[in-house]
Amino acid sequence: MRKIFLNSVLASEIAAFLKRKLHGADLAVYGPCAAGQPTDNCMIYVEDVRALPVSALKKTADVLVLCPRPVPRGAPCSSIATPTPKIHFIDAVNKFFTRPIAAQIHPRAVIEEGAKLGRNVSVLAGSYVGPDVEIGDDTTIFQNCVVTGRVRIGARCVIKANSTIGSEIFDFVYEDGAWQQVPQVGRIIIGDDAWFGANSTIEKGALTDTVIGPGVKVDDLVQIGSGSIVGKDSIIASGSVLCREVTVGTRCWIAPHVSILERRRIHDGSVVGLGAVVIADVPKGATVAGNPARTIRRRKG
Amino acid sequence: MAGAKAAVFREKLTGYLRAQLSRLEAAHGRDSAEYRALALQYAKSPLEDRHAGRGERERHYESEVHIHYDGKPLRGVERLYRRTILIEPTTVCAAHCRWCLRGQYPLFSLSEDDIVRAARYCGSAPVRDDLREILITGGDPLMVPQRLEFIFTQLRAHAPNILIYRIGTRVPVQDPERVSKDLLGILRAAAPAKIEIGTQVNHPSELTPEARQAYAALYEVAFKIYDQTVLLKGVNDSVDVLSRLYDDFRYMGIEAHYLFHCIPMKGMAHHRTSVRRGLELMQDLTSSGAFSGRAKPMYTVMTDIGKVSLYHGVILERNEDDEVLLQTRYRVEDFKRRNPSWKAPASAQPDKDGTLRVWYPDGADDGPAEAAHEKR
Repeated sequence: MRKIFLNSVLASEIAAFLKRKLHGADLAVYGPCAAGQPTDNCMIYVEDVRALPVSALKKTADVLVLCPRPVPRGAPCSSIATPTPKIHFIDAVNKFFTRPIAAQIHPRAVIEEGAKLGRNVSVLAGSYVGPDVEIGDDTTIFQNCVVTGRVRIGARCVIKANSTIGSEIFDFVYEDGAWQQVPQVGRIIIGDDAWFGANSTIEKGALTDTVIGPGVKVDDLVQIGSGSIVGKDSIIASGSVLCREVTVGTRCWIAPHVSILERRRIHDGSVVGLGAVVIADVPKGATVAGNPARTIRRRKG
Repeated sequence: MAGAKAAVFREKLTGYLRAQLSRLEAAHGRDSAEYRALALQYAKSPLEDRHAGRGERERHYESEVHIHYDGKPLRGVERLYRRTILIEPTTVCAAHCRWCLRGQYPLFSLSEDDIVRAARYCGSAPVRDDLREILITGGDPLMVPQRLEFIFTQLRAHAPNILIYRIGTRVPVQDPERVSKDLLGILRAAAPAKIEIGTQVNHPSELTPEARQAYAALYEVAFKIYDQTVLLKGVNDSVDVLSRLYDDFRYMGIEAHYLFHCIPMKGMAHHRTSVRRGLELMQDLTSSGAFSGRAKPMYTVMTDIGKVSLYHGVILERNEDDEVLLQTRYRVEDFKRRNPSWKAPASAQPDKDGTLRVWYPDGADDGPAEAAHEKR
């Protein structure tokens, strides 16, 4: 985890780091700003030179702009031309204006004996890590999380506050006049660089494992049901629910407030639109939307 | 201590300084000594464009002090004294003090390669036998904490002979918010080397609660904070202001080190008093019984060959160009031994023992400290 850090760097140093040319006078940059709200000695980016906030720039001194073309001479700022302003902006901010947050196990976190923690793992106040949990290097578990059961979390993962990874699963059969809980022997396996928003829950598998691939990003308030599999680099936005044993392929995009019925398959590269209720499998590369979800676009070719 | 763009030394203030000026104006008015004490330090004056002063210069001393290492010059490194080397990681400052010694230096920052070479030089034979401390100045090193951290890492790796990292900064009185936990963490990580902070406060009104808090925080990581006030016409050329200032330092644990006579930088004659005025003030401070002897600074001028502390008897004579000849204990052979490329400037002349005497341009007590129409 990194945090913003007040530094001072010359625009020429930023240009050299990005291997781009600086147009206009060299200047000192203290940190990043939103394009519409520049302050003195800041760095902003715009995706289009026409979006340059000229009147705001006239009221500020020493602004560096990352944009697709050099800012014309006489403009009230200096610029670095790049085909990818946002990506280079992020790179420069990470290099010069953030610092790693020192890892810490908060004295009020509970780490059970037997848990295996990698290097630079942070577990913040109020979180619980059970005895059968393994956590990779540089992973951060924010406040008040519960990680329990047979869980393996990869390196550089982030679990935001109040999330539950593991714990009991919601899977019952009605027998002899009462709901009986199914056996719970599955594990949870989370790949490197996965990210979970606040108040998210991931259930362990009943008989099979719940598997979250590397690079998966899960927004706040998402539930991933028992035995589900989410492929590499997929995104699941806020408020979505994956019922039991759902399979999501790689590089899928699940929009906010999507519900996916148990055991359905969302194939690689597909998009599930806002609020969709998925009751049938989604083909590879398709875009589906609505209740019930229907295909509104198929991948060409 | 700041970078010029195309030889224009721009006016530059922080949001914090602007807020302080508004506060002082609201509390005391634009004509008050408190408001002017701050405004004169940072507001660009039309008087700066009148190149009237004699002997004014673009650099604060005219010696050749740059160093060659491995056949190439070391960027941003100067050596004038035996025990100490000076490194300037950046010329960026939070705000521009108008009389800045390095106001005419171009905007630049040292690259990581430059820093690695400088650290290697500091730890190389035979330099390492003499060098015990490094003065990290600029610019303001606390403006570039990331670079500062890199300097520390490199010095630790290549020059363990350096035991004291001395940092020159005005950040606590210009942008105290920058004295953050992150910055303190970086300074703390310099151990086992020790951190010493050299600062400059010129008027008690600069010591706001925020500035005091910043100095207190720096004292958690520094073994000493010392001050080098500059004697500035209209700001602190009175016994009352100086004694209040040094009382405050005493309370804050800041050592009063130098009271500098203002250097004859280009366009800055209006900030300068005469050398004699400073001597009178020093005598009032030190020889009147009105002031704690523990709080007395050394009154010093920066000449072409280095610093000379002034006492009665140090000034040998005065010429028709209003320069004063100062007796020093600097010796040509010492300079040559420390840095073979050193050349005596025209203002310095050795006496028959090889001890240097140096001509230093005097200032004037008459004449305004600001242009009539810019009265605030």
